[in-house]
Amino acid sequence: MSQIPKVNFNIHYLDFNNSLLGSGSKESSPSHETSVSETYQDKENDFEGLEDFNKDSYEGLIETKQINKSKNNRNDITEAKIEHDNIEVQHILKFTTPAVEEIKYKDKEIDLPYGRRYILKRKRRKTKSLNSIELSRQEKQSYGMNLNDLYAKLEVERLQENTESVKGGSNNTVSYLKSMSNPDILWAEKWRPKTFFDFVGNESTNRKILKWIKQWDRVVFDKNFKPITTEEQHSNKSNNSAFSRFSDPFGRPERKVLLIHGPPGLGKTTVAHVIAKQAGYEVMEVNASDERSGQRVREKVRNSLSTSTFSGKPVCLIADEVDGAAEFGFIKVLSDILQDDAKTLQKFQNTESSKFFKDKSGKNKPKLLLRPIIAICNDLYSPALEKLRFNCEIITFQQATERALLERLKLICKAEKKVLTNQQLKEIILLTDFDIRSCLNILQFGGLDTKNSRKKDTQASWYSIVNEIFKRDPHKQKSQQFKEIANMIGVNTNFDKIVHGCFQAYHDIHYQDIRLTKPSKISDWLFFSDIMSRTQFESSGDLSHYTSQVALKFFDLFCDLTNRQSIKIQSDYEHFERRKNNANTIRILFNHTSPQLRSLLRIETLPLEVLSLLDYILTPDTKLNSKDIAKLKNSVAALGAFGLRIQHSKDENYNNILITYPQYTTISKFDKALIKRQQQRQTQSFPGLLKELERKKLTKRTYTQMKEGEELEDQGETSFQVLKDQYEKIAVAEQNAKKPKTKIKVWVKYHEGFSNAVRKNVKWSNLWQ
Amino acid sequence: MSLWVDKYRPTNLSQLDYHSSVSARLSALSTSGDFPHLLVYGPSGAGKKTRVLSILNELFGSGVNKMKIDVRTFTTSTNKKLEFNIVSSSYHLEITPSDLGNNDRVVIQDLLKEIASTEQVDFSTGKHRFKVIIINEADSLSKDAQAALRRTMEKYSRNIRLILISNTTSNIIPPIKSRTLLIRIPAPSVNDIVQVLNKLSSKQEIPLPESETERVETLRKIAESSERNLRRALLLIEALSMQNEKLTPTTPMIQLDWESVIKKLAFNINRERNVSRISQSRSTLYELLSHCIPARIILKKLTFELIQLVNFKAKSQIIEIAAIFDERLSLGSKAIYHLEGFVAKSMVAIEDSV
Repeated sequence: MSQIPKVNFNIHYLDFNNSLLGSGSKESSPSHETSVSETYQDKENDFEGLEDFNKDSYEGLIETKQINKSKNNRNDITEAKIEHDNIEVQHILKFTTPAVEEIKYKDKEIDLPYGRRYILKRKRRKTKSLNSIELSRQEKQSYGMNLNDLYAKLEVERLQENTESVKGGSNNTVSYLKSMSNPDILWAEKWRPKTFFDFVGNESTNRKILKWIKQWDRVVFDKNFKPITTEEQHSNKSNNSAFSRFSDPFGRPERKVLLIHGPPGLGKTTVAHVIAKQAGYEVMEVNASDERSGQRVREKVRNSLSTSTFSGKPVCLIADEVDGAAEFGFIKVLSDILQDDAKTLQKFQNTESSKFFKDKSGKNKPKLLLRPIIAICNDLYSPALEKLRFNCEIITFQQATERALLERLKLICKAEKKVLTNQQLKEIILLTDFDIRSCLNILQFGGLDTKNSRKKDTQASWYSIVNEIFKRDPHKQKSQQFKEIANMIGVNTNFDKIVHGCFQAYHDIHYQDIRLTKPSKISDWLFFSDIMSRTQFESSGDLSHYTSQVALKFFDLFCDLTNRQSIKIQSDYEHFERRKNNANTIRILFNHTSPQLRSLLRIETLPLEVLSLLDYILTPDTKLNSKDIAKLKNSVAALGAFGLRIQHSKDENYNNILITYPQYTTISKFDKALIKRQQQRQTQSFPGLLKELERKKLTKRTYTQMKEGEELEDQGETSFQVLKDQYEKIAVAEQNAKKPKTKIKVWVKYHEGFSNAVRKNVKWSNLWQ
Repeated sequence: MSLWVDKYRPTNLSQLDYHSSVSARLSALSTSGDFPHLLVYGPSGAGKKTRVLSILNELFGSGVNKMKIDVRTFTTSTNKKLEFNIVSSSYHLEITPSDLGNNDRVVIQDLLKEIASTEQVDFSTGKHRFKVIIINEADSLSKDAQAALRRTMEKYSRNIRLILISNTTSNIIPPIKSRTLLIRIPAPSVNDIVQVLNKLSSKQEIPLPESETERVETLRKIAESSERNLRRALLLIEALSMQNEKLTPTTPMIQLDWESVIKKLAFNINRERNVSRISQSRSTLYELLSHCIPARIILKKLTFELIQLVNFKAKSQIIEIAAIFDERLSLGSKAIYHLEGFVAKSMVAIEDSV
């Protein structure tokens, strides 16, 4: 990929009207160096920018847009009819003055009708800047962030500050300005982030995605890409030893599919789209609205991954909403692609590279995956994803922090001229469970009313009700307040959530209590609410509305004058998620155990007794003497019985460790320190196990060969009884074969490939005579 | 190629070590020609499954030990696809319907009918013309599933025999109890376990002390710390012999992590009784739950740990409270409410007794 050039311009302001930039701003100095670089991928964006330039009159904002030289944008620039020999410069000026009619670009000089003249003088590119480009390239490799992007971010922020100081008002993000003109679209669409820097929250996650997608650059943008030579590999390794142990011969990421998951409305789809665009891809989206069953989608996906689009940009496949029972076909297609890729890769590693590329014709055409695939889902553990999951780089999306979200909402409110207090915004955020999309929907449609009617119409959220319950109003009688709260709860029908909220919160508030009678009293009421809410799922009639009484009991017991501040209600969502995760691991583990063992164990006993003890069995205390070989064998047997595999992995400090797959240590151990210790022990003892496994594999191969030999003996007879006998014989032979294995280490090989090697009846015992 | 638990498992009735009267009864059953539906119940790790497989071995020969796992898919009435694992040999199959939660009825209806409606054709011996279906965790079958089961048991008794395995009989509806022969397998006594472990040490090299008394002493210690659960004892001795050069009566036993967490919780509850302690114990309880420890097991363990710590007056009260909350746990669905309620109430009980 062509590196985005970083070029500095000297802008000399010859005749400059100071008022345009605000007095006292440092930009008014006659010779000032601005380097604003903003990457544009979108044609539309550029046109919009031009139109702004012609018609709109924004106040006092000067933007120097340096459009990067990448070929992707060349079309756009020629259309914009800006001529420049080496580097295209688009200089956009926005004035309070009427439309600017004519601009001439003469040797980097701009004339304006009012007699102002701007000269853009190109700064000499020094060797130093070349170095900085080199530097930025290295940076890019380690962080996945373009240094220029970071510069751009800084610059954008500075520009924002400037505008703010000029206008003293709206601080819109630059990319938002463009969408302002259209009032009719949904806010959720209107305020959808357009660049990487517009995202709220999840910063590290976003960077991870960007990094992952950048790893494809080598394959996607380098025209005559070649596999990484061994020398390069070495230099890479020496450079960042902490980096992945794995290395793809084509420099692609280790896992070829990125799976993003998280609750709805956090912007998963948006992030995937924006990042794909930012990295220079054309997005091809396949979502649940498309037909995605089996064959139909297969060709579509294959074609899009192997051909290029009209715009010349490579395609990035975004598979949205892949969790769902109807998605088995689609998932199958994806996992097939991955399998083909793995096969091809293996073939590649076995043959020489020159040979490999010659073999492109016909059926043996290598089916290498050359384009990134991003999959998005809500539920990571849906059964449809079972097959895909372990092949994916999994990215978990979390809720943005309340503060970040609040900032963003405030910004939007300001721009849309809505007056809402922080408290109200906070309530909206909590009401929607940090779902940004639904926050915006509420703001747009709920917020259109005036303040009074809003209050009357909307029911109080469960969150605020919970807070009300614990507050005792000193100016009212208790019975009066009780009535009010009863009304409030009656309007909100979300009783379960209210009660659960009360339960979560009541430890954090103050109340008068002697001898712990209140918590023990409320436990009886909570039992009542549990039973009542269960009736929703039973056929005998819904009684869940009685649950509201439990909330009132909370008021009766725990309301106190000292509770004035609203408290933050904790959520036990995290525990549920972890439990789901662990239960899933246990299920996988259980499904992999050998049938004999499986019939002996109940799935419940795994977390209770088996797994904790398995920890000890798998990590024997070996000091490498003769006895320990038996121990190793034992451990390997246990490993085999549970169908566990040993995997390389990294701990949080990027040390190489060996772990089992599925990884169960988080279930068997509670303390973090203990988990860590167990990991260390595993890393110590697993190399020995791996060796033993290898040895076992070899002996197994010899077994099967022996078995084939036995079978050849009695081929003449065909009667059924004999056939049955023969199976038993084989079983016996197998048993016999096992016994000498442990005592005498002599292996017999028949002539492989000669089926008539044994013509006469030779008994196993004859061989030993 | 497996754990010792599996490797040294007795495969026929004559090899069984304890409960000889039960074994005798079972072997009489298997030779009598016909075979009833069975309901085998008893605590975890008592040897229910081992005995059931031994009976099958007696009935059908060693072919039952060649097991494989199949995955079947079922479609519910709401068109939801369910995956279901079945362990089977050519003579029997083993299902755990409670894997599917509330959809267990579908399995009982579809699968059992399908098997029951095909007759077993055995060319060799013609011993028994029925297939045996082992239903694990029968006590967690939903009421619907049990109702579906009861007619099937009679109607297709020509072709199938059911063996239900459960921990208790209390969740099983009376019609099913009346259709089955109930066999209780009690937990082995400590002496039984010592005997089994001793037998094991003759087959497998275990670094036990030489002298007879010390040897028995060590085994007894292992047996005691495994709470009369033979499976746990076998796993424990395997783990111990992997970890230690030599096993002696002084070898420290391996504490299960979740058990020590509960122990600590009980200790703290007894020591300090206030609101902040309840709040702390809540996070511990959440932690336990998220490690997939069943709520009732937590309650049970916590109760037993508590009554060791408190005085006589509080003991009986705590047991009463535990019984109440045990019921609540099985009736309700929000375990954390009830576990915390138990903690609060037992704090009050301890406070009263001091």
